Amino acid sequence: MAERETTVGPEEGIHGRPAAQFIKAAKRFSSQVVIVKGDREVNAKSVLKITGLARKGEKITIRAEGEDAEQAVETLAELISADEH
Amino acid sequence: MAVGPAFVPATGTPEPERRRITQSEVESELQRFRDAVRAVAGRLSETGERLRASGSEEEACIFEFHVEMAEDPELASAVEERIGTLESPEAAVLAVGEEYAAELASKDQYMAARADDVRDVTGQISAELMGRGASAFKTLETPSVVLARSLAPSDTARIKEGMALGFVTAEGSRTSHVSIMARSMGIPAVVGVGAALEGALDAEDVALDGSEGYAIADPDEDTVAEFQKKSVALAEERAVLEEYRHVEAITSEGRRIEVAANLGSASEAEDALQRGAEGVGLFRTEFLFMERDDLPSEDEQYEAYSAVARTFGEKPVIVRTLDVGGDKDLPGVGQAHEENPFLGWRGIRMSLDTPRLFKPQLRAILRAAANGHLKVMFPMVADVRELEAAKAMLQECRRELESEGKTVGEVETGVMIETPAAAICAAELAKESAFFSIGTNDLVQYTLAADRGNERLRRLQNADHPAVLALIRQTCEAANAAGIPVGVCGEAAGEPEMIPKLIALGVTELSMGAPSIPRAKKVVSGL
Repeated sequence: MAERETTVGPEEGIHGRPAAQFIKAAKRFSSQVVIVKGDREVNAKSVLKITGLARKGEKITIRAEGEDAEQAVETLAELISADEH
Repeated sequence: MAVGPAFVPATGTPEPERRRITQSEVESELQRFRDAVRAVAGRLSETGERLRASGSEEEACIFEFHVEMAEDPELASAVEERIGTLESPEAAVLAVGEEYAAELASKDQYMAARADDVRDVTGQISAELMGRGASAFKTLETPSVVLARSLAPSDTARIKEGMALGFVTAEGSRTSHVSIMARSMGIPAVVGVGAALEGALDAEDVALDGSEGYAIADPDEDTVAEFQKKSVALAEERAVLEEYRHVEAITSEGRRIEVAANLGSASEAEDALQRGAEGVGLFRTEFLFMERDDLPSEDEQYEAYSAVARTFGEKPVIVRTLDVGGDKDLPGVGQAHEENPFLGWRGIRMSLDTPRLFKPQLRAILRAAANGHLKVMFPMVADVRELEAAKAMLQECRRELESEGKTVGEVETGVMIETPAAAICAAELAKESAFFSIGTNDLVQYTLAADRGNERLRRLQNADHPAVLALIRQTCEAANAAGIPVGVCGEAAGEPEMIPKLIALGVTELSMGAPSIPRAKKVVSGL
């Protein structure tokens, strides 16, 4: 299992275009990936679950379990913390 | 332009039947659900790709987001669970969609719009399951003009290829989804006709002109013939223009003419680039000063100039310093009422007298030049003294910025040739300039003493006048002798009948409203 804490970058938080790009990236990994925010834990490959989960500047944790877990958390944490996509 | 039979789609979302499935049907219903998801996602991504290809990147992203929603694994498992409890898939997908939508809608305004997206997508999957994949457009099987109160992107995406000749809607604007979709499909649209639509719903045939923005219900024979002729000509022209959009404009003699765009605000930059602009020949900065009670800060100007510089990258962008006069009140600048604002204290005259206005603008341009290829151009110059004073102020700003440790870029300086005096003194100005740009609109007005806005003086509002052409020739000769480029950034630069004359006179760059660019390239290539 791998996990990383990061800060949401996009101006409007997680939805629309950044969400779609995040999901596309998440689906490239075979690991199970979740986003944890506070006491909520959601499937990181579900656009419906991640939409509206967090706003710009909020802290989230990305956690993955599987063969490519390390790579998944690294890539996805970087993607979600960038302010432009 | 289009003319054809009218088609009015049935309104209202179809309600799923209240049916239960049996245990033995679960497997096949699960399969039906998965097939429906695949069909809807496929259609959405096809539409997205078509939008991207036509340059509507932002709209394309909306569809990408919709594809991800249609294929959402959590949506699928929730629906499949309900199917397992013998609920019909068409009802299950709507119910699950509504749960997600309600949750999003409760968050905030942004998310409320996303809730509509969820309902749109799950509604499409449900409709697909009910065999109404083409929804209200299922019966659209002959090429027709679609009349509707409003059209959602998913509606337009469901229309079979080639079946829509045009759209007429009661709601919407030039920037709404339906207009953008129509442009990406290459069909005309007349949007926002309001209550007038009601009267046209019974029409058998409709003719519409998208560029003029009107539609005619049940046109007579002559109108139909005229529309058909125009629409064929337009289609041919569009195909030719598409071909020339990204070519270099080179005359048969091998002269390379740079074709650039005039921008009225930073937001127009991306569109201009899409239309084939090889640079910006005139970036008007007035938009930053309009509709506000204070002056824009240096940082605000820096952001706007940087945005355009970044969009155009290595391509040159000519920023014209502020050109306003007595026709616009600027706070704290001390303008007086003037009888003749166009002959008054404006352009470089005002800038030179008002360092608190001019210096922040020059500083912003110098800083933004580090983010791209910016040039600066001074308007309303009447003699070389003004040019020297402006350049001195630019130097002063550069020194100040350097001593403050700020990053500045290289900036060439040029003159907008728009007063007859500047054209007559062109040889002298050329020694102090890196480029010229002839503003034909004002040059015509000042040379012919004919107010640009006076309807009765139409005959004299034309660059094709011997006096104006003589001044353009003189300007070009001075520029060519000094080895500096000379552009034209007035309306004449985009007029097919003027382009050959301007090039013959020695003009090396044409700058115009972005929509005219492909046509201008074609005209140059044919010379």
